[in-house]
Amino acid sequence: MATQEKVDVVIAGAGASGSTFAAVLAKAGKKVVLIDNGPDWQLTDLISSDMWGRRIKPAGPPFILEGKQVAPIGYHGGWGVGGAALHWFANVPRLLPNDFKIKSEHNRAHDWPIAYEDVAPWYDKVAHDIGISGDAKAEELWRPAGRDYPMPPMRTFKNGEVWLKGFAANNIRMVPAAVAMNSTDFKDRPACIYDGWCHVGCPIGALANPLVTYLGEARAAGAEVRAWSTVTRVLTDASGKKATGVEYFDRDGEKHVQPASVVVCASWAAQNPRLLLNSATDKHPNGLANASGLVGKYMMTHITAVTNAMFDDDLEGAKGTIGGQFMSYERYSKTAHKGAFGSTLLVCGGATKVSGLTGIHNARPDLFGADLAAFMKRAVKGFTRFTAACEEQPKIENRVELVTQKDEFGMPLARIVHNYDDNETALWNANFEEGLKIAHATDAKDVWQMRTAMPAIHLMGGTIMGTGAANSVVNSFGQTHELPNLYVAGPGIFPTCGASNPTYTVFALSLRAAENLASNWGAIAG
Amino acid sequence: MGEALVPGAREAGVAHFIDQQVSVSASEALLEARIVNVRPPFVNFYRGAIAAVDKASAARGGKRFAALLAAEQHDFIGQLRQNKIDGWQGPPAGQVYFVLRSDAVDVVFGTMEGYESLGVPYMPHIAPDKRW
Repeated sequence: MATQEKVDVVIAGAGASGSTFAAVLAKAGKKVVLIDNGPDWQLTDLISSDMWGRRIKPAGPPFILEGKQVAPIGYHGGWGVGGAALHWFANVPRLLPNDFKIKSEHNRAHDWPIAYEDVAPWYDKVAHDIGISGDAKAEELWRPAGRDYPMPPMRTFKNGEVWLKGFAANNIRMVPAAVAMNSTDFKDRPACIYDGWCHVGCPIGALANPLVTYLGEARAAGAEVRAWSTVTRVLTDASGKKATGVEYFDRDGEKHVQPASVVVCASWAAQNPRLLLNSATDKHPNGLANASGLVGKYMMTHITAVTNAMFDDDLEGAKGTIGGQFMSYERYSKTAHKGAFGSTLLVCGGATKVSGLTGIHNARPDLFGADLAAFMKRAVKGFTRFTAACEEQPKIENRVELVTQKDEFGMPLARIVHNYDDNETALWNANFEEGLKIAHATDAKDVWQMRTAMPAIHLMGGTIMGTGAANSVVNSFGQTHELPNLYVAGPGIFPTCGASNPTYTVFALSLRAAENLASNWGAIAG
Repeated sequence: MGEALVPGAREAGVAHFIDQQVSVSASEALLEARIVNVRPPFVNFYRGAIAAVDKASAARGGKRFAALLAAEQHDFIGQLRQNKIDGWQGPPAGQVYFVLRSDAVDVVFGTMEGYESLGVPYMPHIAPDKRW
């Protein structure tokens, strides 16, 4: 075993949240090391192909999936430097004020220990750090005023525009979708060329992946990235009150200890609880930061209700971006749909490629043989779809827990159990019903929906924030209640998940937390 | 089965694609299997799938899948898709359908040549230097 020289901060995971912490702290003069279990991807690795694009996603992640609606791993997960944000769709809707106080307003789920107003300045700051295109003023139909985005909205295309008639007929106001992509040149990055390959990684940096934003800044400020290295334990001192570093294995299987003054767990939402649970000691017999018993609990996902349509026009669906062209918070009230509870975000106009999980063929997964071939020829011209993203309410039964089976480093695998309940089913169905009304008010020739299985996307929760160790794992900065120099970052700290894509909020919360840490370094790092 | 799932898959090389991809490490594989939670090594999934298909086919009509008439193959796949094959023993039938169909779509439509065959501009930032 090799013990490395002590650093100020060690970060497990070089994705969206880890990169943000690294940038802030490295620029504050701290010695920062990021440890990531996959390759050190470069922009030149981001090949425009659904097949080749699978290389930047996990292969056999150390989780066993159970439940009726199994947790999303393969498609949504990240593997390697940049994490899932290397291939994110870059939709950046934000959470709204009603997401932060569900308990107070509806006596359900949890309140966040902070309000929208605490996060809003950080949303605005992120927008100007990484580059967001959109129309902030238009969004003020539904949210408090803030700063304008640094770039105007992206171009729109027929595959998005054809839906507007249907939304208008149902009194749903659509606004330009906010996306972390460049509608114009931004900083030293070029404008988007609308080729629709965002989901396998944008090698020109028009899409704000970590390599061209916070991770690039972190490296420029001296942060070190150790790829192909897997953190297996967070280490603590004899008192159990302070984290002292991490244990990790390199690509050759050699074990290392990386001492640090501050430890940030910034892995995937299911990996952070796995790591904390595997770091149990005599002082923390149930895992680190787990006095509440809530490490691994309240895993959440978003449900999507997709409405498909075929038009006679050539919509050129492969063009544009994988992010949306238009979005709406019109159904974001928790009680927008009668008989169902939870928010819905509406998005239309993402580019659709020919193959891959989101490819045209999977709009009709029931077709094969000559029927599929005929559908493909028609769909490459006339197919489009829109998505209603729905909120899941947190349930303690949805969880991550260790199992006896172990990985190649001797670390226990984890089981992720995930099920929706009748409320989520009702919300999903309500959105399907409205989706049909919207689609039938357009000029579509055929309209259909696939209601065979409820999708689960965007894994969140598992290390939720709250007011204290009795009801949560971390505070609003991701600082664990029990070990002040141990942080958790990412969507795992959300106590409720709203219906908005999580990564913008991940960036905002991480930036807020990292700047707080930098400002209070002496008190926290000791 | 690839040809029955997507016409043109045989000529496009679906058998080579799968053979070649299960021979490399899971982290290098380009297979849809890695996206839909198939545990490596992926060859185990394909071996299990092929054995289960042939066993179920033989149990239904006394012939391996490849020996079935085209209409019989179509009927078999329809049952496979819906998890309706009696006595199925192997990876989940619906997952077998989904993964094998995706493999066939990949080789027929997912390449630059496949896009061209559909009249869709490929528009790569960085073009793949080989199909797989």
